Amino acid sequence: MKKVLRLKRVWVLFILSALFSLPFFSTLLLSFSPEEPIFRHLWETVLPGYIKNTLLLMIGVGMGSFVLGLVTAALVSFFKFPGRQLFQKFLILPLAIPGFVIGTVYLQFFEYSGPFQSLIRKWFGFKTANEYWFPEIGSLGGVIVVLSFILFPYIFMTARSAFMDQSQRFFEVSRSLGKGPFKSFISVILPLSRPSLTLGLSLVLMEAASDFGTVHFFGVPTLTSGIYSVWLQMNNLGGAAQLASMLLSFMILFITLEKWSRSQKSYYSLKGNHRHMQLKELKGLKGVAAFSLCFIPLFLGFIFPFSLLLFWSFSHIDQIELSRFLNDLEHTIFLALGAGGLCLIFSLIFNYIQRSLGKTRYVEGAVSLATLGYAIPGPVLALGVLIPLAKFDNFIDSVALSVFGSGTGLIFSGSVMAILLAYLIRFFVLSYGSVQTGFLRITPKMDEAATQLGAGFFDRISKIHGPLLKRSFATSLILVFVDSMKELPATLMLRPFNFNTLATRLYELSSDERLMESAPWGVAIVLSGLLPLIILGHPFGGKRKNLKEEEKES
Amino acid sequence: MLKLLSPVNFFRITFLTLTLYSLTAQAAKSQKEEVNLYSYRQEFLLRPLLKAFESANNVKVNVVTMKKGLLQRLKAEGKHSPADIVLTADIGNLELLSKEGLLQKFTSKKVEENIPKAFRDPKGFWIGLSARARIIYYSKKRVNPKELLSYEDLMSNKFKGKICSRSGLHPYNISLLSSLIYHRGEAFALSWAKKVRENLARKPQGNDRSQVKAISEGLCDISLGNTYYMGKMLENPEQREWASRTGIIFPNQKTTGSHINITGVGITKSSRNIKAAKKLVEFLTGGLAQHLYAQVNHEYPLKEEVPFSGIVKSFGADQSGINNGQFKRDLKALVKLSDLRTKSIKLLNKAGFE
Repeated sequence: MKKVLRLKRVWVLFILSALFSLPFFSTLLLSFSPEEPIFRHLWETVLPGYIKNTLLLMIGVGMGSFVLGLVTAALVSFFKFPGRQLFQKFLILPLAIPGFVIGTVYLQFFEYSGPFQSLIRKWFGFKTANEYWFPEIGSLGGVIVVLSFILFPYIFMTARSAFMDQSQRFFEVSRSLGKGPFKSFISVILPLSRPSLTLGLSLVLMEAASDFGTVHFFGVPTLTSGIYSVWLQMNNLGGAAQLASMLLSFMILFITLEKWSRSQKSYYSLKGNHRHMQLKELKGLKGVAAFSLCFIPLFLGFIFPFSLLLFWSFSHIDQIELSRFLNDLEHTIFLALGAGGLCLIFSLIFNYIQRSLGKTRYVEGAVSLATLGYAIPGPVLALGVLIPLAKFDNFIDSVALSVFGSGTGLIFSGSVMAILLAYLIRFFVLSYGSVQTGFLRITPKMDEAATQLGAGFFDRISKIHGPLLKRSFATSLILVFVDSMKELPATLMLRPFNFNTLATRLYELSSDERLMESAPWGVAIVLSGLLPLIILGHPFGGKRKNLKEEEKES
Repeated sequence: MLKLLSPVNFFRITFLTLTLYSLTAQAAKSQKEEVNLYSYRQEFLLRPLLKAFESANNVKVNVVTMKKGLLQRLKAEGKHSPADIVLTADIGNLELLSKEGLLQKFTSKKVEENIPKAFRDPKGFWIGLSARARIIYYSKKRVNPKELLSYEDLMSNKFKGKICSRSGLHPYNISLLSSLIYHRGEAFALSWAKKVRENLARKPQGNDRSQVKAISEGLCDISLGNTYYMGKMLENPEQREWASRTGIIFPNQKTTGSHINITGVGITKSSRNIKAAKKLVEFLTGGLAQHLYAQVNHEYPLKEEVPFSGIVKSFGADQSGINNGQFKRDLKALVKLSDLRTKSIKLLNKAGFE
């Protein structure tokens, strides 16, 4: 009986991860049959440049956001300084603004004719571009900086929650063994936070590698731009799939490397009373320095671009068609809620099955496959969803036609369901990661105790897991909700008739050089992104009552 | 509040919303005649046109717009695609759609009267609606327009560090290079792309308007751009100044004619509302719609009697041979553009013109 149950679960897991890796496999499949062999041409011309840019982008953004996220998280976790309370809440805000919006704002602001350089010319009396040096903002360096300021909150969040859950005791032991506070941080706390940091870093890397809009605006061709050019302009789907597979293999390589190096070490958790880290007060100049270190990323990643958006919105507020605006808002919130809910449900299913099956290689493999969607560039994802769905629809139609004598037409493709499926596949890893972190907090012994006390499966969920996982649920919902609000390429390509979201409208307006008119839509995206934070509570705010729970990371 | 939003309740609410939503979406489909449009053009450009059509014919027009992946979506959906009409901003895409077998042949007396033969598919799969030219923008202050009469002149060493461009791989530039391949052969086109790239003042970036801005700011002297942008910039209070410092040259007037491309439509093979689709196509080629392209978008209407907009008429006023904005168009290359597209992209890759 038990064996049958186990087998069933394995099947559910496999079927689900097959569904989630649909775009991945359909891409892989397509790459074997290009319309016209193109790889050699690409390899001899542009491909080395694409690869170089992609790798440098990943390395640069990875390092940039890692440093920004780690420093800010460490400051708010271990020190007391003016503004700390606000920073720990607000440093995640850059996630709420779509990357391409921040990208265009910065380009406009810092380009030759933008306000910043104009001011420099006015101050110093320069007349032409040749008289002074200014870094080219539309460059690889420019994208790296901008993306780092947009993406660092992923590191901040994961680092912050890892630091929050750490015990003072480890730190004290290290100190008593003669290590300084900084060294103790590097040699004790950082390694203990590694699983969480890795999650954050891999999100950043995947996001950077699959970015379409920002690199395009900055004129930096990456593998993703190559995919676009080969697929949509040369109309060579197979050739594009080859590039996409290459991009994905970079991601897989990275994940495997990390897993391998982690498998050399084990993570133990210790029982006992944890005392939370005591905050060290920073006074005077040190306090000012800490404040600035947190304020600058927040300012550049959120306050500055958002203020500009707000300012433009107010100056163009009379041009908004309210009914249209509300319609877009409704679509967006519906999709974001739907995606948030779906992701959470499937994360729970995955985590429960994984928990009951224990750690085995094939389960891990299935999970890795299922969480790969985040690394797939939006348009490729859209196509990876569209082609199999349309095939499926056409199959159902032909079956219906032969059985009932009348066809069904297309059921899923071209409907909201297609978009939801794309979101689910893309954002699943965000939800899965958050829920998994929560589950690590619940030991099997707690389940056993509950079962012995007569609690059934659903009792366990509602009375024990539910309350303990609340914070993870909130994080999962917030992340997926916010990212869905911003999603652009897949939504653009999969949407039904007469259907716009805030992001698609924003894009249509801003790509027609009407960035200022599009600003109200941008503001709406940011504000609705904040909604779940307000309703569900901030992941780092509120009481820390669950944190006494024993930590276990493995 | 928190109780209300407990995880279990959250699921319930989500499911309920999802079901309700899909039900209402089904019910909302009215009995009114409808026609479904896939468009490369953005909706706000089309809306005024479609509104006029809807109220005149009592037909509802549903639109999905996307610049990327439209063809791919249509292909994937196959014979069940809900689309009736496809509207594209590049003749290459129309040709591609017809080659993929996604369009159906279509004849209409009205359309034939409205649109000259040169802008209709000889095989009958698509119809042109409006045209644009890719011309040279130059700084009135720093460039002598007499020295710059052709696309070929852009290769000259004297323009080293003077040219600005958007990405070479943008469809507009690909299309221009295809016309050069057609007229001058691959080897010449490659050296053109190489030379122009070497003459660039900065890395390719931005769109056509940003190049004009850069010219007005003194970053460079010359760029390639589409005609209608000049009209749009002159009408935009924030951009008028850039445009006023910049002049237009219609290149190759003595030889092949200036490169043009067209926006056009085709009816899909899968169309289930052919009657309404026909009506819409006829409407788009008719006087009212053509007038709107000309006046609102500053494109060249293809229906002959429809006048250009005032701004468009003034283009090339000081260039000899151009009266009232009428210039020599490169019609020969037009139907070859789609065949040469992949070749053109490969050349651009070889030339490193990203």
